[in-house]
Amino acid sequence: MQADGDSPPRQPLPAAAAPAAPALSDPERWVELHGDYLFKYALMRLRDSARAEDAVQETFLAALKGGKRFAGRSAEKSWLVGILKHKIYDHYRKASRETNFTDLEFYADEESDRFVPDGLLKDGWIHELGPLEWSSPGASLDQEVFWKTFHDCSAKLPKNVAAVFHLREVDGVESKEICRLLNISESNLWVMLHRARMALRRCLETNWFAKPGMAE
Amino acid sequence: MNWLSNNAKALLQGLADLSPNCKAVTRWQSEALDHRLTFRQQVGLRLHLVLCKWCRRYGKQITFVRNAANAHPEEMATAVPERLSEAARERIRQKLRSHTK
Repeated sequence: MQADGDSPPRQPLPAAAAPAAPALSDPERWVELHGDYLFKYALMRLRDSARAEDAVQETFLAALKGGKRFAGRSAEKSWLVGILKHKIYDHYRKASRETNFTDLEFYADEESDRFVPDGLLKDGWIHELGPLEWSSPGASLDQEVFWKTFHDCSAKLPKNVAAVFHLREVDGVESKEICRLLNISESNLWVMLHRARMALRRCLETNWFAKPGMAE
Repeated sequence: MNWLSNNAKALLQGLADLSPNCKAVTRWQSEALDHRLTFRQQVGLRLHLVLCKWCRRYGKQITFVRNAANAHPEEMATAVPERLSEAARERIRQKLRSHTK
C-alpha cells in the first residue's frame, strides 16, 4: 500500500480529538470505572475480600503516585491491573514467609478411584471412568456460562493450590520464579500443579463437557 | 554379584520408564508443561500415547485448560460473582481524595 492522498490521516488525529492532555478518567472516577474488575481479579487470587479490598486501594494509591496518564479506558485498566498483580505477588511473598505455601494434602489420592487398583493393569485408567472425548471445546470459550463453570471449579481448589495455578497457568510465570516467590521446592510445585490440573479437568468434564446440551 | 544386581536394577528402572502406567503418564504430561522430561520419560510417554486414547485425551485436555486460562484472564475475573462493597468503595474514595489534595 502506498501512502497517497487517500490513506487515513495519522498525524492530525491527536491534535483534533484531544486538545490538551489525552482524556484520562479522573482518579475520582477510578473506583466506579475499575473498582469492581480489580476487586474480582484480586479476590480470585487472594480468596479474602478484606485483603482484596486492600490490594485495590493500594493499587489506586500507587497509580496516583505513578501519575501516568493514559488515553482511553482499556489502556488505563491494563496499567492498573499490572500494578495490582505486583501487589498480589507481594502479598504471596509475605504470606509464604509466615506459613509454608506447600500443600500436598489436596487431591493426594490423585483420582485413584479412576485407576485399576491392582493386577496386571494396575494404575491404568478404568475404561468407563477414563477421560471422555470433549467435542469442540474451543466453542465454549466465548460463552459466559462456561467461565462461570470454570470459576466454580477453580473456586474448589484450596487457596495455595489455586495461587500456584493462577501464577503458572493464567499468568504464565516460570516454575523457578514461582518457587522463589513462594519459597517452595520445584518438585512440590509440580505435584501441586499436577493435582490442580487433574481436579480442574475432572470438574470441567463433569459440569460442562459431559453435560448434555452444555458444550454444543 | 553386587555389580550385577545393581545393573539389573537400573535396567528394570529403565524398562519401567519405557512402559509407564496411565497414572504415571498423567503426572508426566502435567510435568511436561513445566519442565523438560528425561529422555527415557519422553520415549516412554510417546510409546504409551500411541496405545492409550484415554491418556491422549487427558494430555490434550489439560493443555486446553492451560491455554484457555492463559488467553482469557478477563473472562475469568469477570466471572467472579462478588463485587466491591459500597463501604469499601466509599473508604477507597476517601483515601484517594485525601491523597490528591
